[in-house]
Amino acid sequence: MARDNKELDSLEYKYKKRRRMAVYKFLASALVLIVFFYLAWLLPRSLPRNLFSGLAGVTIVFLFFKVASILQNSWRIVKHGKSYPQYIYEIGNGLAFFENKDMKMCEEMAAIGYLLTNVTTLGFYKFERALPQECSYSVDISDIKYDAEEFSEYLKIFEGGGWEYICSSGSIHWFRGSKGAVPIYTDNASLALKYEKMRKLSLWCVISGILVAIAFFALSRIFPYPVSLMFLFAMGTGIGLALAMSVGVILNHRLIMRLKKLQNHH
Amino acid sequence: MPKQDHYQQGQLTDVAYLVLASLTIPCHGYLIMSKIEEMTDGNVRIGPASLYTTLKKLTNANFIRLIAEDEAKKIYYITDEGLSALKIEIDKRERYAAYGKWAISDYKEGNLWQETIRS
Repeated sequence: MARDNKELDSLEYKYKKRRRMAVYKFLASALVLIVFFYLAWLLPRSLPRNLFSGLAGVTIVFLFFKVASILQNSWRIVKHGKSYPQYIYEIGNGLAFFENKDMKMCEEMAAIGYLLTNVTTLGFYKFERALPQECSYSVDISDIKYDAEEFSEYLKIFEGGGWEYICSSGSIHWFRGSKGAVPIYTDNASLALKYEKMRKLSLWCVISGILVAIAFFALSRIFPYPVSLMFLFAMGTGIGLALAMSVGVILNHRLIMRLKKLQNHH
Repeated sequence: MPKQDHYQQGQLTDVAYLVLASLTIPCHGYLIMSKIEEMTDGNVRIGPASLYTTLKKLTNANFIRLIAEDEAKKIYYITDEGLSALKIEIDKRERYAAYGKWAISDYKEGNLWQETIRS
């Protein structure tokens, strides 16, 4: 495969940029961690104190992720900053919040010669080496799952509109189209329905996060001190999930309201 | 669908109107997009996700129905209910267009509002 310098630069540049962002986020969350620890230390032994220990737990997990990201990107710059691996895995930005950001990332990857082949359940995007090309990506959330009977009919309609099916995760489906393809949604009424489904999914995440938090809080009460700390950290993870996804619910709700206002003139 | 659809209240969105009009001839779901694009000289284009959602909604409102089905090729056709709704919608849109045409036929170039103030 022909390699030119522009491509080489873009991969290395990408990793360096990502590492820089990871460092910033690491420093910011370290600051937050100190604040949480200070608050937990300040308060008497009570429920808010447990809450802050839990939140500190979340921050520690986040810090670990950032350290992993810094190491991974450093390794990537050394290992294949100047060569091309067959597959690259990227972490998504969170589909419920930054759908466009994810799609833009996929488009940028296609431009430097990596096409999306799969999206795993945990939100990892898998790219495979291909010829660099300009294309656009879209994600649809549908009532039907990929193993449902009507799915082939659904795909047929997308193919008719010039959108190639890539992969699914439950009822979320990814598509690739040419650069100037008709957007998959051209009316606000249908688009509002899509985001209603997204809101519902986010709401389920909030509920399950709260349930996890309650369960681990109960466990932390049952077990003695050193073991209970572990459960408090786990509770913090549940709270973190619920908080993050409730932001997703709010963002999607606002989007739905805006779309409905736009379609009111019908 | 648990929610009350707008279609039952006699409100057809642009996309629903176009899809319903295309289905006065039995048609495969995926052919509707190219059909509309052809008929409007590429000025009106419908995205696949919009089309799929609209087909589902129209089926639920009993405005269109499946008349044939073989491995991923479903053929839809308008129902009597759909036909009457379409006629009402065409009437409405014609009246809108007629009003617009009448209004624009009176339009004169220049700053008319200044003359109106003076007189």
